[in-house]
Amino acid sequence: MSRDPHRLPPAGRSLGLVFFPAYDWAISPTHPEREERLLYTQDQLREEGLFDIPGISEHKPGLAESEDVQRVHFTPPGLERVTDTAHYVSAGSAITAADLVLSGLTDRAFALTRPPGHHAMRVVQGGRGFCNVNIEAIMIERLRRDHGIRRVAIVDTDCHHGDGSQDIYWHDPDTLFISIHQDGRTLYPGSGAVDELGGPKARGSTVNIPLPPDTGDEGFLLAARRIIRPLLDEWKPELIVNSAGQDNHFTDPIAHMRLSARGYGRLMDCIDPHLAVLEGGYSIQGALPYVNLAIILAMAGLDYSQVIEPRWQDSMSSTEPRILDYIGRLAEKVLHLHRHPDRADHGYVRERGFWVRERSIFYDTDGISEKQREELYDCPQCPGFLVIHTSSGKRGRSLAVESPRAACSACRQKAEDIYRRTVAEGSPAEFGDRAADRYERNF
Amino acid sequence: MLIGLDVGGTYTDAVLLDENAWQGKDAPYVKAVKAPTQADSVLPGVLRALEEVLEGEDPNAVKRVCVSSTLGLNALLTGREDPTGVLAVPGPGMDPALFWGEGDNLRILSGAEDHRGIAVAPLDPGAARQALRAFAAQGIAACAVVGKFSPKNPEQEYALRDLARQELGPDAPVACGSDASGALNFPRRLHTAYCNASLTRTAGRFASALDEAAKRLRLNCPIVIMKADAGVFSNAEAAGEPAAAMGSGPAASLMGVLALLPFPGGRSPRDLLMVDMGGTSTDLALLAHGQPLLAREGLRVAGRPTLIRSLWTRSIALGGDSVLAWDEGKPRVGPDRLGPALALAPEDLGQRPPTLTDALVVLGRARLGRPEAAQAAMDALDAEAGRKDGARAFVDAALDRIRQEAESLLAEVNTRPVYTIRELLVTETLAPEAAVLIGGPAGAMAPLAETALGMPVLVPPAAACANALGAALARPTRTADLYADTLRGRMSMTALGIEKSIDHRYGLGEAKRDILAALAEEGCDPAQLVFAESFRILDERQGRGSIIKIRAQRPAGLLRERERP
Ligand SMILES: [Zn+2]
Ligand SMILES: [Zn+2]
Repeated sequence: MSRDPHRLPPAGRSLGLVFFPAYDWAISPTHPEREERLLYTQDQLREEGLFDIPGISEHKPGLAESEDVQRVHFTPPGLERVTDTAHYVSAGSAITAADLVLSGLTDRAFALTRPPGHHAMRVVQGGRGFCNVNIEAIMIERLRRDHGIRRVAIVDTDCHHGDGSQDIYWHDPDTLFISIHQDGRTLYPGSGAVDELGGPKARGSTVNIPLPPDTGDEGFLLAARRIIRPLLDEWKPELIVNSAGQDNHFTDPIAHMRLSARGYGRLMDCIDPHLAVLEGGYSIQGALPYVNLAIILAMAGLDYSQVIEPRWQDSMSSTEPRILDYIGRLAEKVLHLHRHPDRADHGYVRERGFWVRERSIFYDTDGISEKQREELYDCPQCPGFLVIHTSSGKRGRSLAVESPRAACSACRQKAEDIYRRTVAEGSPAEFGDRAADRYERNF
Repeated sequence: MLIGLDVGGTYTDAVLLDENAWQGKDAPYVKAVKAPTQADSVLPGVLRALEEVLEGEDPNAVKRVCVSSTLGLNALLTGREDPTGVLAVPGPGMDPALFWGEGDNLRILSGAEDHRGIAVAPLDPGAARQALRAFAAQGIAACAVVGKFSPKNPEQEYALRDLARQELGPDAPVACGSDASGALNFPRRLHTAYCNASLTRTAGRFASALDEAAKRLRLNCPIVIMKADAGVFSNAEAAGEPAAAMGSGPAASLMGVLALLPFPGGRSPRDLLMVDMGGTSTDLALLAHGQPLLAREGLRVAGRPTLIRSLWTRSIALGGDSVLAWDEGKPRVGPDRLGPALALAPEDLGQRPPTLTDALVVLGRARLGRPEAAQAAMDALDAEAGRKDGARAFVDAALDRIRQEAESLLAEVNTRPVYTIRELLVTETLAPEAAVLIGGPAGAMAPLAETALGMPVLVPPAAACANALGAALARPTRTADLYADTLRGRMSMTALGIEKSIDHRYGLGEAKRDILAALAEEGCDPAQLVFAESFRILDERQGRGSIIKIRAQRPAGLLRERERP
């Protein structure tokens, strides 16, 4: 008696979505990172009836805790001065998404949340590129604590170089960070050149793929197939995280790439991440609704061939042959450097057993300039502890000391000694003992 | 006097009550009757129950008759709805083939409106006519027309509706997706419009039959129909939008529970779980802050997800008539049913498995007609499995099933997503203070249910006919969505048939007044706002404006003094 039921077909893979548009939060009313950003995406997803598909589920975000932020960031101005509730929800959304996958509740998960995070570095003096805290890193470090995973790969497909994530994992041999982005010579933040390969004790764990402006679907797929997929296959991460920026879309007002929604879908098929976390993308009407839909369908193993932007024409997402040639050569160069990182200079100098570099960092969102001196202890037993001298015009000087997860006992002790000495001198300092998951500060 | 009728799988219940003197009584009705429900037709049971309840009464004293029926539901479940063609304008997005079953007459047309309701591709009237002529040639007279994002801009849908009327005739049932609901969900809108179009004629015949019966019985009062959202609408409205009346059973029951509060002893929980056990099925529903809790999306019926506003409910194929069997050493209750229970049968029915009701009789929980028949069947079943305590095991299994479903229902309610920081920080968890058991087996199950459900279990007086009581006392409801985009200069409330131009100054305050006034016009006053949101938007070309989204409703409730007809 009962007929062919009109259920939507089950997703090829189960997918958990944590959708948090933060309709009550904006950097400022006219800022690209404003309330409206996910409004049309939400309407599109609702109207598509996506949440009725068996296997696709929507989940309420949890709130990250201050400890989750401290595990990743040093915040010289004080945690509460650089974060607000929105950041804790955004990071909490990513953690909720990750828990779905790690606990086996869903095969894949996507945190569609704002504000974004991939420009936030280890030290946070303020906002950079609309980011205050790095939500992927906060999520990954929480996963490492709760689920005991070690090898994680991040594939950052935002059009802007993921300089914050790169900085956080620069010295971590257990995290493969791959960023594919518009060449830094033509776009903010300027970094992400092919010879940026990771710190002196983690060479090759950072991979940068700077693509020329006007790269379209075929160009991205070429780079993904020639570089990203082989690296992931070879490196064998336990978990692949995608920083899913959507500003490569041909309608994006800030960047200059030509990826289509279906191109994003194909890119996802190739990368096949367990987790995706929304990053940038500011074509909120012309791109986000369609790109997010295509990404979701691809992650769920469903057909996305009808996700065609209104008024789309082939020429809008095509790639010129000369660009394809360039990407072919670029792929060889990237893979060569990844295998022979010693062929490039890491930019550090040795001083009394430490690898040292000095640099300036600009926080464009808040207009802050920071001076940093980074000292990495060159330990023969472990990745070495890190000492960062930071100062900014607004906040003055302070010290940050981190003993990494894999630190040997001697390094843990030495790092703590440096922190205690600084505290005894009465100078502001922060300390993270990652092996003990313990964080301290004296201000 | 008010009359309430509720069509169940086994019986059609009817009550007659005095609208001025029913509260706080052990028997809140003047009269309650039962008529058997026919398997293939709802109407005979309704008419018989109506005749019986009116017997010896003055028809002029009756102020309203409300019917909660399974008419549309049954038609869909048994595939007896009218053949219906569907014209869809999906635009960019998911391929409709993904969510529309094969073999249904779906025609995809070009044209598109985007997420703001901006037409981004024109409709092709020629192709639409061609599709409609093909329907007509196949003898398909009913048609649903549905466009993606039509609640934001119904223009393309309206154009298709006009074409459908031209091609199929002015009397052909044509359902427009945006008429039924202003909520977003294209696949659900398709299914909802399909249900409305395909049930229009069935509902129309039922409405006429009710009107005729009323005339014959010399009733001189409005006839209203119960909806899935726990409200009522007129018999005429039901004929035009028949889908809304599907799944009204649990709604009638929950309104009955609401009517019976406070229970003896003054207990009046504001958050409660309703367990309505009938002969065929058990329905679970929730009262939150004293109001029926509605589902986020809508009713799912015959495998079709719809936008029909309905209670947040669970239906379990488990009831008094559920057949008991041992399944690899485990007690299984249902899903097969066999009525009546042996204990209730007027004579020996021969070899037959016992039902859940029989198990309750064996346990001494229910005192009914022929306990020896129940005992004999239970003994036979025990012998088969080599046990002695079968009856208790089956009742426990039934209660355990109910507990599991109740827990899963609550988990679903309490993990619903939220979209703002404020909501995330203040959303509370719903934890029922008590379970209310109603329906035939309620009294017998209650003492055992308390332990199984882990909360106080209350059985109101008149638990057996709470459903009909609820129907008698439910008031009209209505829901409307308003969508405005000041940069487009349009405001629409498609479910109320309203669409108008607005200027850039149109704001949330004005929009709220508009939607409440429109609902008041429909006789729904006072209505309340479910949500009212305004988003500042910035368009590269058009500049600054705002998008406004409001949902308002006349929520479910009991008839109050001035509303009594
Ligand atoms: Zn970006
Ligand atoms: Zn060491």
